[in-house]
Amino acid sequence: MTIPPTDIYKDPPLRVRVRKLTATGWSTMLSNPNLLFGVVVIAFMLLVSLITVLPVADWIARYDPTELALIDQLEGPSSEHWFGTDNLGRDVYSRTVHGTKTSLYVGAGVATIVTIIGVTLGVVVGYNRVADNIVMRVMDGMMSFPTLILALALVAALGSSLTNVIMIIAVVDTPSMTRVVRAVVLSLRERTYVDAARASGASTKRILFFHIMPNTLAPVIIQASIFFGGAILTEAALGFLGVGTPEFIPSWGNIISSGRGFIRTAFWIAFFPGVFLALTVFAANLIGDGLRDVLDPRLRGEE
Amino acid sequence: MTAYIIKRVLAVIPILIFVGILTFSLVHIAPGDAANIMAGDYAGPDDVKLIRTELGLDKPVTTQFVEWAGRTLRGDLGRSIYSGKSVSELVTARLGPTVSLTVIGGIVAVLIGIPLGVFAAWKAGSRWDRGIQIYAAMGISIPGFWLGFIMILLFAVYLRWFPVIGYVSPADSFTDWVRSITLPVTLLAIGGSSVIVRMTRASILEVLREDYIRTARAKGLANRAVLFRHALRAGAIPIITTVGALAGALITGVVVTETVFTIPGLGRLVAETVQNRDFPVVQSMLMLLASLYVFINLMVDLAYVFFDPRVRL
Repeated sequence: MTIPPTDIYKDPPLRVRVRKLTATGWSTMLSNPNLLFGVVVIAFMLLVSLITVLPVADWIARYDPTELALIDQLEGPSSEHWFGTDNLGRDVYSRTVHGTKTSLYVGAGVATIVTIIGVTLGVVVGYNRVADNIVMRVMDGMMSFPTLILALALVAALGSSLTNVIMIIAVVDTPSMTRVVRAVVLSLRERTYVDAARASGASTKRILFFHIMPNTLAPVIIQASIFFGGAILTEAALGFLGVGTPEFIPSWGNIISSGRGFIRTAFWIAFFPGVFLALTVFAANLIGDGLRDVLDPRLRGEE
Repeated sequence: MTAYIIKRVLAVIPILIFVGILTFSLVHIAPGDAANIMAGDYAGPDDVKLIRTELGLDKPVTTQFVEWAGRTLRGDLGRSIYSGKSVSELVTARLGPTVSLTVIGGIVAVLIGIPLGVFAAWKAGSRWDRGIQIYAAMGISIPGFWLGFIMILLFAVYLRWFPVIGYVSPADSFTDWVRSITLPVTLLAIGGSSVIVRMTRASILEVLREDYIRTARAKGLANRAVLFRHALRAGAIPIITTVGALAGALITGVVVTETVFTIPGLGRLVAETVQNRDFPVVQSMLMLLASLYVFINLMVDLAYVFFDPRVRL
């Protein structure tokens, strides 16, 4: 004999909840200038990278980013080449614009992978002692490496394709996401509402997916936006150190790296992609901070 | 308390074993043949064979691991396949610049970061707080290699206040040493202090919300006394943790900083050997830096015990 599940409290229909949430989202965003700035910048970068992957790339990119023109090498910024040209005569503006999609792709890829693996592992280890002991020891071990050093060593071993770079940064970031989720799960499972769910006959699976996981959403979103910016920064750092995304795929990191030797003669090669990079990472961090202010009011600093 | 210390120190052993296994596996997770990769594109089959026997890659993996672990424990860190020099030789030759940069950079970062963080928390929500927070957000967002590039462009190329690249040992010329490390140290301190500001601000804010702070205020204690006598004393404990985070920021920062300023230190060594895929050196550096990082975090945890009686329980 099975007891039919009873719904004591009925949620309003999804449509209503989404509309309510969107309304709150807009109003909080407009009331938090930092968050607004971050969202606008990231949206702009997304738009730029969207255009560059479509056949209309030349609307904004002006030139082929890989087209060599040895006659035009190391030219300063002009109306023809807005950000100047590099040592192979390639248009730095076009390379920077095309680099946008590489960076955003890395950021989004890493944030997605880290979220999926981190949430899954975090929820499992938060609920299972044995898994907790094994997984968290491995995570502690991984966290005992300074992140960039571990990423560098893995790049040395695995080689640096774009996919490898994303995978490696994701692996390096996963432990901290797992820790965050685990901590939330550990505190949530002691709550009365979880006891209530269990008492009403909900299975462990149901409790995990419907009662605990939705509540990890806020910290996970905050972490994911921080990892998004962090991954873009790490990809660029690897590129700058000469072991990141291969040269034929323009990325902000490898453009800056190629300009390193020309600081006296052609500062523009490294300068302009750096502006894009700094702006994007700054925006991602502002979103992270802004979301934390909104979602975790304890840290807002006001009574 | 002693039991806690022993437990904490012993906990380092499995971590170091894990670090060792991961470091060792590096050569074996390389797709294809590690000897081939290291030999480079222009090597003949004899060179590859030489590297393979040199590194013992022709033996079974377990034998290799036991031999490698034994050598590492005895302090034999291997030999660069690129320059032929032993790793200990390379490390000693390059230690000086890195120690100068990280120690001075770390001290400056603490001296800037903690007061700014405390002040921001104390004036939370004010214009000052917002300014300091923007500084910290920029410090962790703006890539060090790009900021370093701008600093060189501005202060070395145009204003000519500092040399563009290179490092002068203090034994050779003290003033030249100061000139050669000013920009790199500033770069490291900006990154490090930003991390500290954020952590300090958060922990002091937490303390200021405690009941006993409200009590102290209610008693009519002057603002300054509340901050210095009550809040800072309790806040000092979480601030110690920032040292662990600072160590991470400095180790990462020094690789980038030394590359930007072309300083022949350990960070540059890491970057160069990764580029050359000089596995023995990469492995040893990974092992050394991870052990250092583990050791610093152990020290931070032990310092906790002395400051916070609650941990001893």
